[in-house]
Amino acid sequence: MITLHLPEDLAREVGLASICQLAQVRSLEELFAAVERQAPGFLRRVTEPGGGLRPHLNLFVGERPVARERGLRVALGAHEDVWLLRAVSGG
Amino acid sequence: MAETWLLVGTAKGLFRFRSRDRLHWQAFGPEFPQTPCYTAVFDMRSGVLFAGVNSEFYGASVRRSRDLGETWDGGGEGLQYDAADEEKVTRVWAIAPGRADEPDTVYAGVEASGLFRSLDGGETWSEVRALRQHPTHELWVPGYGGKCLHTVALSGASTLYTACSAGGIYRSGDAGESFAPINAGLEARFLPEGSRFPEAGQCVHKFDVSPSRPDRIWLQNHGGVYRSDDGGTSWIEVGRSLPGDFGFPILAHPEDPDTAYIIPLRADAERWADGGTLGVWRTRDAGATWQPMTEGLPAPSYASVLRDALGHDGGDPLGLYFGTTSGSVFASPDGGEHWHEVAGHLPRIFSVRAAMVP
Repeated sequence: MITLHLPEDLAREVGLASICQLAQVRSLEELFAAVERQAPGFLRRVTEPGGGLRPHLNLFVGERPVARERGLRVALGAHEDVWLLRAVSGG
Repeated sequence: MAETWLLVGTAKGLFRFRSRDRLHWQAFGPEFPQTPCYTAVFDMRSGVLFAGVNSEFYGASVRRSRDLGETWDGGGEGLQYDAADEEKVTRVWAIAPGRADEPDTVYAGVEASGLFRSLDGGETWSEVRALRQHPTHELWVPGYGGKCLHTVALSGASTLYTACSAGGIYRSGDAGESFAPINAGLEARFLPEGSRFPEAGQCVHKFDVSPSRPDRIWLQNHGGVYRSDDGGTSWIEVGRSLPGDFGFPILAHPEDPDTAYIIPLRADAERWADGGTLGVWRTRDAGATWQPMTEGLPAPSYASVLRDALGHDGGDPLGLYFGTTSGSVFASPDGGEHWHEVAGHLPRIFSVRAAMVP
């Protein structure tokens, strides 16, 4: 089971809880696709047209930063916490 | 009794104000907190509000409200260039409802400079590709605010105007199937002598088409105030008598084609009003002379007024409104003769739009 932690404002925008649990996903790509099925519009908010993460977002699998790692083709274990966070930017 | 509504787009959200007498105002919002809102418009065809919401985190979108801004949707799909495109859509700068006989058509001008159109009221968007396919596209560069298409206007059955900084003003006579630059006669003072009249690469700050005389266009350039009486084919400089002919917004009177409004600023370093005397300047004789209207405005003021931050409500007498980079909104219920502050201490103001709502 994957536990996905979302920023409050993003969760509110797309109509999800800020902590979601998703089963049967083996990579970040599959995780994001599963979230998109539940909440259409999620993907365009968090990814660039080419597929990478938007520049002012951060992504962690557990404590490991993966925002700039091989796009979203990052494998996930059976039980992971994935954190999508707003980067430290903005005024 | 009609209510006057103001939509004020700021660096940290959209604020709304309502008045029944254009003197006393009730504030609402902000919506989209901490999120830059570069523009917001009333679609008088349907009563829908559109807002250009530019999240640094989640991207740019055109949001819609059907209840005067109480609730907003999440924005439509497709407001992005192709994945292989070197340019990306990072901000929405302009929103223009389509013609009366095309009730579901809406245009959006974006950064990096380009034009999008929705044929279903903002559900889905697609690029009007002919504009960026014009050979002069390679001459477009970012201005201080970004590489942005900031103004879209419709005229007649099929004429479409756009302007971008720095790129210039373009005209389409076939509803966006093709475009041509119409910058002949506009001076780019920021270029070396001998090359100051380029076909493209101009830094047009704003233009406005006269609703009562559609071939008349008022234009505030990056230095220079201009008028065209032939739909942009040629331009007449009309700002030499002003204390400064640099500025951002320019506004055509909704009924009188000889009346227009600007807010002159000192160029190029200061970008505040000459001597700190902030005011709206009006011409009633097609630009031959200009009169300052400052009564009720603070002085000295070292604020600036950005390109989308001057608007009118279409009323009689005409209500004028503008917002400053220092976060003040000013209103005049009598065409600029007397001003009062609607609100102060807001975030940096990008846009002010007004409408009288039955």
